[in-house]
Amino acid sequence: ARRPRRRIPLVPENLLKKRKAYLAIKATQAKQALLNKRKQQKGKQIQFRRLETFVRDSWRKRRDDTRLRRMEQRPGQAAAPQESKLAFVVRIVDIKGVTKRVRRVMELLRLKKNYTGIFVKLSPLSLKMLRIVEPYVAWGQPNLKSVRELILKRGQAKIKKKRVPLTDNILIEEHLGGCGIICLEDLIHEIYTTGKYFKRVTSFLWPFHLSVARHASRNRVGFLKEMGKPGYRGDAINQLIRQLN
Amino acid sequence: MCRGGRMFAPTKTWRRWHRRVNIMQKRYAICSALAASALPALVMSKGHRIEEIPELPLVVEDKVEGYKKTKEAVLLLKKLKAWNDIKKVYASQRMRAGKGKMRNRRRIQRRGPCIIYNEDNGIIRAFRNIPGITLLNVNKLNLLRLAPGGHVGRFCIWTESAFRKLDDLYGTWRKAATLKSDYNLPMHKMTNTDIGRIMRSQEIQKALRAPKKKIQRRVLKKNPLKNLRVMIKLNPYAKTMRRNTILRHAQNHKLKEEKKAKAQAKLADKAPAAPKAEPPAKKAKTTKAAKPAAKGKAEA
Repeated sequence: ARRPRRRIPLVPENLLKKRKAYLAIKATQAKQALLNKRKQQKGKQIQFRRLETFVRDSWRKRRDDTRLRRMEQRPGQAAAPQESKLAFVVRIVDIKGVTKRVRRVMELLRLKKNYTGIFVKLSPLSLKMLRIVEPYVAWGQPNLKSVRELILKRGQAKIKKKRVPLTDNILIEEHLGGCGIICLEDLIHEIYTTGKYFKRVTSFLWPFHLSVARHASRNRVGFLKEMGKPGYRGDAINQLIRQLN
Repeated sequence: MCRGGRMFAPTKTWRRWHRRVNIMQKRYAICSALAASALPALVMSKGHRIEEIPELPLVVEDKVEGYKKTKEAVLLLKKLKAWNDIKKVYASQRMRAGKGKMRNRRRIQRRGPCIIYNEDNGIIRAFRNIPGITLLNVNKLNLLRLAPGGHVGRFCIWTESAFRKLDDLYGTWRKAATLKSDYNLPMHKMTNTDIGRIMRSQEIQKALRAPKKKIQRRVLKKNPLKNLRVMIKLNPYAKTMRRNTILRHAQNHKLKEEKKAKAQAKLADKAPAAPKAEPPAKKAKTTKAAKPAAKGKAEA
């Protein structure tokens, strides 16, 4: 005998649609509720500043002040060699509680975040700036491979105050066409051979946010050893760029 | 032992129920409530079932004021399609939640339509037993009945003479109210409330910029060092460079293999004679082949 075929009850289409939308809304609501719950659990009402931070800040300020004063009174020798005019500056030390002057120079160099880097054209003025922020940055002469890889992998442009990734030569042509730079290779060339429009190109580029290695939190001492000491380090900056890029 | 003196703020056994309100404010409120009762959207949002009534504001002949029997009243409401509202009142009859039950406030129900009449010739007695209905004399309009719960938009059924009397009671903007000593309707906050029409007007549209219909979405950045297509998009010559390195690689590899094969063959011929002479030569060849390949890779 044939089994009676089960009739699927006819449901009007709008009801099915409503149910689907309702379930979707419920799902997103549940997700939001979970996120909100998580947010609420970490409720920090009082912000403590520990005594150690005050001590550290004042120590830093003092050392910076004395260093800057000494730099003015006894200038000493210039650190950089004269053949190459290009330098890559990476900020590797956090900058809590330093003097205003150092902070201002950092802002001028656009190194507001830790592990950011920029290209700098070496001139007496920029050398002075680098000397002021020496204990917080590592800088040196990058080679062509470093320049290319940095710009290709982490090149972002500043278009209308927004950070736009350099995915197309059209962006470069629109903004730097007046300087005769129409593609990414032109840009790389302009930076590597510090050309006439170096300043315009570097201000077009957003500062490079480099990556911090995963083991930085696990093995802090080893990580710091890898980063090395702040200051001028010539060609060894390339090794640092390989690590951070 | 007991000390003398009186208590601070002695509690009283009576409660102050009444509040003073300025007359202008009271009249303003009644005008707002009456205006809201004429808008179908507001009355429906208050919950009254007015889908099928003939029009709003609902005005009935003066004969209704002479009704004596509740049956007549019910028939009138049914004919006016206002009975759905009464049915809703019936459906809402329930027990109160909370302690009010034991404080003589046991049962609660919804408010139904409000009948506003001018002269009582029996209308009160006809309508008063229908649940939800409140009767109001137009000369003594009560805001607590026109906006129950503090929310405007009660469903009102007017008799003709009551409706006509509103002009005398509250005035129109052209003439003051005759039944009040010195009163006219309150001025509008906005004279032209059709915001759609205002926004579509020439004066405003002229001052707007063109609409931005194109949606700018975030571009995903792909790494050109790993992704050949993206690299070619940025630098078309990368294709030929990559091709050349691959070819050179293959060529060097082939040469290396040939040299190796030759060396193996030679070794096979003169077995113990000079095995040491070959390895150093092989090493020189491999380093030379690796260097140009590495340089090519660096350029690409």
